[in-house]
Amino acid sequence: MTLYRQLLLGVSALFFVLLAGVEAIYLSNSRQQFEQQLASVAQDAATALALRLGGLKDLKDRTLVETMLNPVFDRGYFQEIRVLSLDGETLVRRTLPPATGDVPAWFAKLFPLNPPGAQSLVSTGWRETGRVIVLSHPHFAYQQLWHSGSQTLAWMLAVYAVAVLLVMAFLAMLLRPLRELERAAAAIGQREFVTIDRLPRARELASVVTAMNSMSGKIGRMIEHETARAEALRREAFIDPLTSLYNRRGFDQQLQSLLRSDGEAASSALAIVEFQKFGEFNARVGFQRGDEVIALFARTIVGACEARGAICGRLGGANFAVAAIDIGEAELQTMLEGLCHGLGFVLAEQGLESDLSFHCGATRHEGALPAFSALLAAADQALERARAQGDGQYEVAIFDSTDGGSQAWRARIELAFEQDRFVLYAQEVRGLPGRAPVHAEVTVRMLREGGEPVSAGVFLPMAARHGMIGQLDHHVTAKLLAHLATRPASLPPLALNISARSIADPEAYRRLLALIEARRDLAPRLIIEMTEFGALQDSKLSQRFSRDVQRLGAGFALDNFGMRQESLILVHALKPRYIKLSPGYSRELAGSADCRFLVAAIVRAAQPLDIGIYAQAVEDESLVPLLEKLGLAGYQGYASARPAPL
Amino acid sequence: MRVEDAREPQTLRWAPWIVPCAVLLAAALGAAGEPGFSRSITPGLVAAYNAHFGRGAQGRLEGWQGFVRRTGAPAAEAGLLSPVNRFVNRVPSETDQDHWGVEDYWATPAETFASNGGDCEDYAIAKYFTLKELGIPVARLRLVYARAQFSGDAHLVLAYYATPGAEPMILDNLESDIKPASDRPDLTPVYTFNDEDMQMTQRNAPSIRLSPTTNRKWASVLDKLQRELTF
Repeated sequence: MTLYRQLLLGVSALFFVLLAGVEAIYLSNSRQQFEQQLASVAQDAATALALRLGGLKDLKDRTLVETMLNPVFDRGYFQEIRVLSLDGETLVRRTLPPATGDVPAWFAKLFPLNPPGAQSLVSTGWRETGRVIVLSHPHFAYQQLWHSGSQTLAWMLAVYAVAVLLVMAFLAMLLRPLRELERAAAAIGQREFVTIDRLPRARELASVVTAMNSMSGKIGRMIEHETARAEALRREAFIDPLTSLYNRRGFDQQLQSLLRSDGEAASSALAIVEFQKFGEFNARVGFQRGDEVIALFARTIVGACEARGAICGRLGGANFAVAAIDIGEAELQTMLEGLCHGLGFVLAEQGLESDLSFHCGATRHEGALPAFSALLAAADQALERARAQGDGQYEVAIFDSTDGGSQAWRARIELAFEQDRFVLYAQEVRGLPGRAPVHAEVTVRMLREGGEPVSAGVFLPMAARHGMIGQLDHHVTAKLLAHLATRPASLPPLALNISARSIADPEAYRRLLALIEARRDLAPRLIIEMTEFGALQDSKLSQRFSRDVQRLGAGFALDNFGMRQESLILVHALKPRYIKLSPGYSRELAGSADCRFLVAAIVRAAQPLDIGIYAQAVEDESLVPLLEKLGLAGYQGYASARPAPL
Repeated sequence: MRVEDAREPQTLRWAPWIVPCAVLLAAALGAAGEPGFSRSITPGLVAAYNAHFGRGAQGRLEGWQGFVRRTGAPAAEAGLLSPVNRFVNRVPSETDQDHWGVEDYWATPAETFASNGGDCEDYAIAKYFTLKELGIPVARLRLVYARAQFSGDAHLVLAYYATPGAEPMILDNLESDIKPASDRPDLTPVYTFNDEDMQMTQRNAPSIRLSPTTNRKWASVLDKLQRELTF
């Protein structure tokens, strides 16, 4: 119950007791007063009657006595009038039945009016002849009491209502800053370091808000600072300062990260553009002009390829590379044509046709994503062939690693669904320091008809191509939840990758969430991972997904984090439980101080947000002490454990 | 005294809670005796009235006590009336206005003797309680509002009824002898009451709870008597 409700309840209960007490005292006082009045009326009547009956010689003429009583009795104020003889015999008795009129019986019972009767001696001259007893009828008094009682009650209720309204308004005004404070506290709990602009008037609250603002502001600034540092280090390490494209190292890193984006891509493509004789040209026109031309080429390449979501890099000198995934053959052709046409136009426009020439070699892989080196080698071969063809030409080498064609794969995967020939593997992730297992990442393998397993890298591109990723994610999640139900609770939670494709499809999104919602009891032991590439596809949607998943009690994490330009902003918005760096970092850490600096900076930027950073593809135990020194939260790879069937 | 518009001054009204308090206190102090009796007079009350009414008060109160003690020997009821009437009538007659400074004041017997003054109802009250102390049942006594023909004033006397409905004997401060009512043509009786008796005869109408008092002045005397017990 909120403080507001408690206070309101307390104060209104107090008011209620107070007003009820006032009403009760009023009624009981009135009742006493009425009783006294009734008693005195009875006494008056008894005295008056005794005096009048004293005028009779004796009381034996009952008719006469009764006639004398009647005018008094018929006024209706008396319940009983009785005349007794000297020896106590009742001579005349007149009674009205006791009644309370339109006053409810419960009221008469609650506030009974029992006035005492009165008596008077009747004397004729000196001789005593009898006595008169009179009892008042409480009928009119009841009506009076009831009437004034209900009137005061109505007043009291009106006063009560007004009082409660005033208290409500007052409390609402008083506690308004508290609500803001609560919101801010909740936001900070969600690792969002907000500040409150308006200080509350109450001194105690004001100091709490000031302290919170100061704390929140400091942490916020620290995060900003560390984020900016990490960003600066990233640029230094991965970005070519002249063209703002990735440098060789950055491009490698990004490409490797892309090639591990299981389930996001059905195909991959790499194009290399090479300008010949650039060294001589540079020497002749000077570095400044040379740099100008390089920057111009870079802009042209970005202009031609950016729309395809491709990543562009400058490999060194006047050599450029463009990589894209999930691109069709015709699309690649169009992109390359646009690229070569654009570059040719620039050469002509700048009057450099005689000085410089270029060719472009590209390769496209359909199906399983190739190894980084294989892709590079294929592109080099294509480049060689383009060079032989002449200036401004491009050549594409197509590789189809789909075994038996994509339609055959479709049928194969559908059959695997029917017969449930998917198996889950898990690789333990160890935490630092201590190397205790913190969670395990789940991967899926498909069994062929003969029973031999096919790795995800092979069948996922095919599933992506045929739009079956949503179905697959659903199938695997259901399988994993079923496993979790039997898995001992003492074992670490399980992490599962969900593709951006599943999230982009509203129906698949809904079904996936419904699946988790149905087993909310298991959700705390489930972590949903998304690749950085996938999360960046539609950052609004990823944020919604992250919120939904965490609302159901499951964890949300980022996988395969290569640190693209927008990534740190995305991290702030997504609030992942942890981030797994892409394997390229692990490979470079030992050899590159830049890389170590960058990783340390990412760790520092994520620390105040309570986000752990994990290294992936840690194959060698000897790297672990360095990871620990850099402040990483844990590591995954053969050094932690080999994937094992669940 | 004046019967009509007899209003008691505020200072002499007793708050209703004083009586129960006084009764409790009396019980606590162990003061014995019935209210209004000469033998119920406590040394504290004597001291208080001495201080208030002057040194003679003690002697007069002791005189009253002595009279009751002497007369207390068993005797015929009728034989008690005359001595009591004579003894009480010895108190000088004063108007309430002169004596108490208020228009109408009903004094307790102790007040009457201690202050050495009173008017008609004070005599009647003193006689009533003295006769009661001497053993006459209250059922035979009545206080009677009457009109005194010679003075034309409202008057109050004590009447003694040997049997119910009989002709009463009148104890009056204007008359030293006790006479039957028929020998008192100068008095016209108007209204008769005896709250103590009426309280006792409630059995006549068992279905009705009767008010213990019919007369406010009488009730105030009872209150004062209760309080006197606590001195």
